[in-house]
Amino acid sequence: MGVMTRAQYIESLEKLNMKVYMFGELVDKPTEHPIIVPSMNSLAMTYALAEKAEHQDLMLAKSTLNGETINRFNYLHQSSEDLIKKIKMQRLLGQKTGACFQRCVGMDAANAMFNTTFEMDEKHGTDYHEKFTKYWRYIQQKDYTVDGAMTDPKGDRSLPPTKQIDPDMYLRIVERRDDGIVVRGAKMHQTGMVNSHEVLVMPTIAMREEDKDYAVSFAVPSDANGILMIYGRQSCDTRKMEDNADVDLGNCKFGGHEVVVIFDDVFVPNERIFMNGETEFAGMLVERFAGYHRSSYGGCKVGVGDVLIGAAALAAEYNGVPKASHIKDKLIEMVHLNETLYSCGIACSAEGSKTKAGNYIIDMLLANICKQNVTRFPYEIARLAEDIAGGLMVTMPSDKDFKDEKLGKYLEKYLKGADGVPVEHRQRILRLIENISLGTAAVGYRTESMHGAGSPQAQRIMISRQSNMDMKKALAKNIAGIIELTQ
Amino acid sequence: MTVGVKYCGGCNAEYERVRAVERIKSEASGHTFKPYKDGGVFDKVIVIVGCGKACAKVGERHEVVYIGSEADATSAIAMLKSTEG
Repeated sequence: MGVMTRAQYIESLEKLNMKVYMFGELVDKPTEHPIIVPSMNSLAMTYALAEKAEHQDLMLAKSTLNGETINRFNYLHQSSEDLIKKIKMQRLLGQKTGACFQRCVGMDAANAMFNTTFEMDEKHGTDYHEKFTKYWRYIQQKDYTVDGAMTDPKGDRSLPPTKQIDPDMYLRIVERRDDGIVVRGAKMHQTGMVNSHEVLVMPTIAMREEDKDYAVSFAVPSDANGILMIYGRQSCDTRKMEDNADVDLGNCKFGGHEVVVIFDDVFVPNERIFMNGETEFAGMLVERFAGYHRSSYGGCKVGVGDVLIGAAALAAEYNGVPKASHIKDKLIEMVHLNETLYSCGIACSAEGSKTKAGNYIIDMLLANICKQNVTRFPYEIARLAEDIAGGLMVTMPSDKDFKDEKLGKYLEKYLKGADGVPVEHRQRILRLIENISLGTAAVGYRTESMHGAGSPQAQRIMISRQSNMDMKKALAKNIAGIIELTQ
Repeated sequence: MTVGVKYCGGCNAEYERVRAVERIKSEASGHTFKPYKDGGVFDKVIVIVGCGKACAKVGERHEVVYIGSEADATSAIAMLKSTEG
């Protein structure tokens, strides 16, 4: 197949028998649930854009595994140019959805897994790389979406996996059989899992020798026996359940989601195990996945930022103040911050390098710089959007009031802005700003910017490790004329 | 002529690229327009780029016309019409 259409993708999801729970109940048909559908639409956009000639330069690539044309989200990057195209594709998807489109995690996990398994085999004589390559060829051929699962619950953060009171606080192997392993545990904050065909599991931290049962990586179908998902709440989520929900949602078509995934003694066959006790490679896999994923934020969040900046500019027009100098200056600041993030995403891609396995990896220092900025700038962009929008974005009555026979005329009269602008346009743009800055999409644009792909301190540790401080000190000594005598 | 049509990915489009192509196809209808493919045989290739970065690439052996604006599309139409048989 190589490339699925949007319709084929949704049809393929409908065939899965996933166990998804929300508000304490099993969801009968996730692809039809009003709270889930917007997130499915976002992910489906990765298929829809791949159908359009005007976007295929970014959306498609030629597989090095099977020679077929495939979706770039399943591609193993072969050059710095490919890494740059990945960032541009992510920006495009953010622009088209104004939300998290969820498919980056699997792409980033696959690229990290491909080169880490190669180096594991090189050291241990194992066959993980061959198994993973075979698995990923299958994913490419089917054009499946894969959820990359890393974050464990972690319990007491001061304790390693084996010292936790509850041994399941990090996902682990509970049984080894001739034909595979049985795993138990949970993965938190799983973006897009309900819209994914498969889940690719990785350890969440560097491991010690005694953590062998926790150094495990594998892939299983998202509806495998023993997997259940518990849907995460989002601010304003039940607005989607209201009758004729549209204007008050801000973005009625697109959204994102996260779930808690429980692995309740899930069997993994041997051919789908990609790490089984090689503790010294857990850290490498985590760092590489995190690096790829931290670079991704220099694309996806920028695309959503484009939407938010556009919304703020429209709000200013609708309020009648597009020419006010402070408004223009705030919009310039928003663009400056957004393009700075993009610059980071492009820079860490342009400085990418070839791994031993042959696929390309981003520059690790610049990717961490990128994500560190992402933990800050979207907050400031959202603050400026709220500043420009005015208080009405959070005090505006419901659309039902606007359509009410008695109340509507008052709202139409008193919420009028610039001449010639329908009040409904003003409603819609203010709700969109609300959606991205503090509604359902704020999960993706704000808090995910803070903690997704690792919290700020995780990047600072990596920045410290990669900073080459000895070279900087030597430069300073040289310029300052400091000559140290060696004994 | 057989004219190949190649779009950039469109992450920073400064004009409506699809509309520009539709205009070219409709106003220079004496030519055959086909989606560009690597290795394909075309008399000319029009590359539709959304912004000045012009990041879309095509094979070097083709005669290429870059379209980066509605004005470029108008020029391309004039050029194509002048070569219509």
